[in-house]
Amino acid sequence: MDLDLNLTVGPGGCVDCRHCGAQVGTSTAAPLDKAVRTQRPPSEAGPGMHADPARFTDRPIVLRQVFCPNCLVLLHTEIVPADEPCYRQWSLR
Amino acid sequence: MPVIPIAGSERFGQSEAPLDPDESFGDLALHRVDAQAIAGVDALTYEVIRHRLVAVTDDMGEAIKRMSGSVVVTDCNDFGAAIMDELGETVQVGLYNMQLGSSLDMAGRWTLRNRSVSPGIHPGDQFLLNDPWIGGGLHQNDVTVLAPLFYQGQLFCWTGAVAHQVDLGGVSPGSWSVDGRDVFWESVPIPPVTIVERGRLRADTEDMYLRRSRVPKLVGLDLRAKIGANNVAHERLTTLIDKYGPDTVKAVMKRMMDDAETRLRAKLRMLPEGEWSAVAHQDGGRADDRQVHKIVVRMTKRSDRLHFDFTGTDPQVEGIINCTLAGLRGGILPILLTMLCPDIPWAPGGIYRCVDITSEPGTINNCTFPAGIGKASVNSAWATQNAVSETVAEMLATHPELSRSATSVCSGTWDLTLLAGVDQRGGGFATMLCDAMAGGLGAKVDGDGVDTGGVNCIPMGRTADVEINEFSFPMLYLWRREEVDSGGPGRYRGGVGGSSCFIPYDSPAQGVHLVVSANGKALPQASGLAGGYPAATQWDVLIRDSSVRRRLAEGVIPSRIEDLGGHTDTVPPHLETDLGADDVYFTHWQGGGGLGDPLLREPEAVARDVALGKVSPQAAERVYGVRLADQAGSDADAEETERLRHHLRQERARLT
Ligand SMILES: [Zn+2]
Repeated sequence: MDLDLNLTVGPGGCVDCRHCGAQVGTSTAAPLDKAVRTQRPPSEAGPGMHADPARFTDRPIVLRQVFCPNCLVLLHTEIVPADEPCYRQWSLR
Repeated sequence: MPVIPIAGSERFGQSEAPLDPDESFGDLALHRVDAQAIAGVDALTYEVIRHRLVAVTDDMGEAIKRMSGSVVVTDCNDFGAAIMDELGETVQVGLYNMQLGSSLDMAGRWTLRNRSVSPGIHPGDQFLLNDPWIGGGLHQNDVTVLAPLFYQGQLFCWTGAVAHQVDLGGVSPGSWSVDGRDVFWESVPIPPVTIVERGRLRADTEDMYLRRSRVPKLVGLDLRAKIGANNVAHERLTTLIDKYGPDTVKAVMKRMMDDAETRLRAKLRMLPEGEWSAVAHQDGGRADDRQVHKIVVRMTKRSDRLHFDFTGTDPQVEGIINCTLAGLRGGILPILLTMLCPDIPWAPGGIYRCVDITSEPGTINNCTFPAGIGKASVNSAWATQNAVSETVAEMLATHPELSRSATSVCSGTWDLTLLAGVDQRGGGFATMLCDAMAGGLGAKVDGDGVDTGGVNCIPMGRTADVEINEFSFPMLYLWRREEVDSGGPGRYRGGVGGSSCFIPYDSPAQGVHLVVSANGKALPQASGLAGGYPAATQWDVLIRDSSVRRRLAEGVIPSRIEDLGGHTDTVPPHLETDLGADDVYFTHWQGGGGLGDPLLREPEAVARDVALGKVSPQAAERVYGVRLADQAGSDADAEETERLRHHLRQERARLT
């Protein structure tokens, strides 16, 4: 079963990259546990990030991204307060 | 001063549970049908009557538009209409503002429970309310007129019309008080009151209602538009009942809800069991608030049910962005209708039966009285919708067919620009500019989001023509246009949003009052999916003492902020100020989120976007990894693009 444009359920229930076949997660209950995660300044998301967040809030804001460990295809992007955990998660039973 | 609980206000708070079908309401006789009657309707009769009921909600919308004098209603379609059964369960919601149709059931139930004895519910009565703790609209500007329809002495069903009223009092024009701390800074809510009594408009109730408004004549016209819409609906429904009989029409109403429930359950069973979580942020709960407030949701899908659990959402704030339970439901229903039910009757009474909600009262999207809710509809309700949109879309993404209904988040917020003052005819005015109806839609799993395609919750939403706004209000546009890089980058790009730039014009007061309220400036709100980037941040700019009038006198229409002269200030999320004769206001609303890795987007599509002004050459190179053969974006350089993309893959994953 494909999970989205990038991920599919592989043999044994692991989560694999649809682009290169590498394992991204050990199971659909932990679908991205082998992925590469980075954190960068939000301005690196491109020119659509107009003003410095510090103008409006004292909390640090970051660009978080998740990649396939092998082909480095981008699996997840969010811009959030740096002091928050990643609330955007999913798992299948 | 902290928000102080109000003893007795709990009477106006509601659960979302339907009424017991056997509950009695004074000596009110309700028309009911049994299961046998519902099962007994033949398929042809069912479809004929069902389509007629859908047409009645369309007719209600037409009636509101034809009678209203408010541009927000006539040209922008910010209203809702629905038919409810005798117990208030929503049978059919119109295609207009679905947020406004999300909690008419709550309003109907409360009215039955609290008004059937005193003052009583009679043939020809209509009830007015704008209390979002009770239901109906999402903030006080959303005024509902509920009308019970009687047939042969029995309460047969209800119709409801809701529309955004441009001003209902409060500290600031438009009733959007950006300094507000609690509901008493705003228009004080009105629980259901009899506005039409046995077919006659009650002058005392109308005066009590309109006395609070800065534009009472306009609001009075809208009131008549909603009463008229209910009258149109009642004429049509009575004709229908005369023809087919009350039991058959009611059986169809019940079947519509049952059908929606059955079909949604069947669709949910096609999807995998799992949990999807999301978060939505809002920067600033009122003017000068530098906090970022979050709504979190965990959606669990088990068998044929969805459970939305908002545990972990921030407490309600001293500000204007909270919403009540009606707002929270207004954040769920539009997503269910557009993503899960495009092929299912829009009968919320049945759809809600497949949904459970866990939410703690006292939180930002389930606030308690007297929290400020002046911007509920376009703050915490809208943010709820963003978070719910992510979870539902991710669930749908797992299915080869159903995934085609999923999109990334559409237009991350409502860009509120409120103008008030003296118009070019010397009369007082207040209006909400609805240009942001042209938000960008989120990208799909198989294509780009629609550029300036609209907002998720108002399928029929539209922007007024520039000329209508200039004719109606003392303003002159320098431009209104799509904005480059406003759609979220992705393999499939989010639809772009747009901007408007205008000056006060031809007011005897030489300027206008301006209220700005739009979040998403510290961090974007229209998130992407499957690696797609969010849409651009909201961006509003105020230019004082510009040279624009001199430039216009010279025959030049400036088309860039840099060409306006004067002093330029980026506007915070909430601001109330005045625009003087030489001031200019620029407002840039949001697009839709992207979907998939932008490095996988066809280079030709990126080049085409650059040529059309949807993507800048800088973003083409830095985000999409596309090296253009020339800056005009006519072609991508294939070899250089491949090299650049390889480099960006390493760089963004911090492997260089
Ligand atoms: Zn891979």
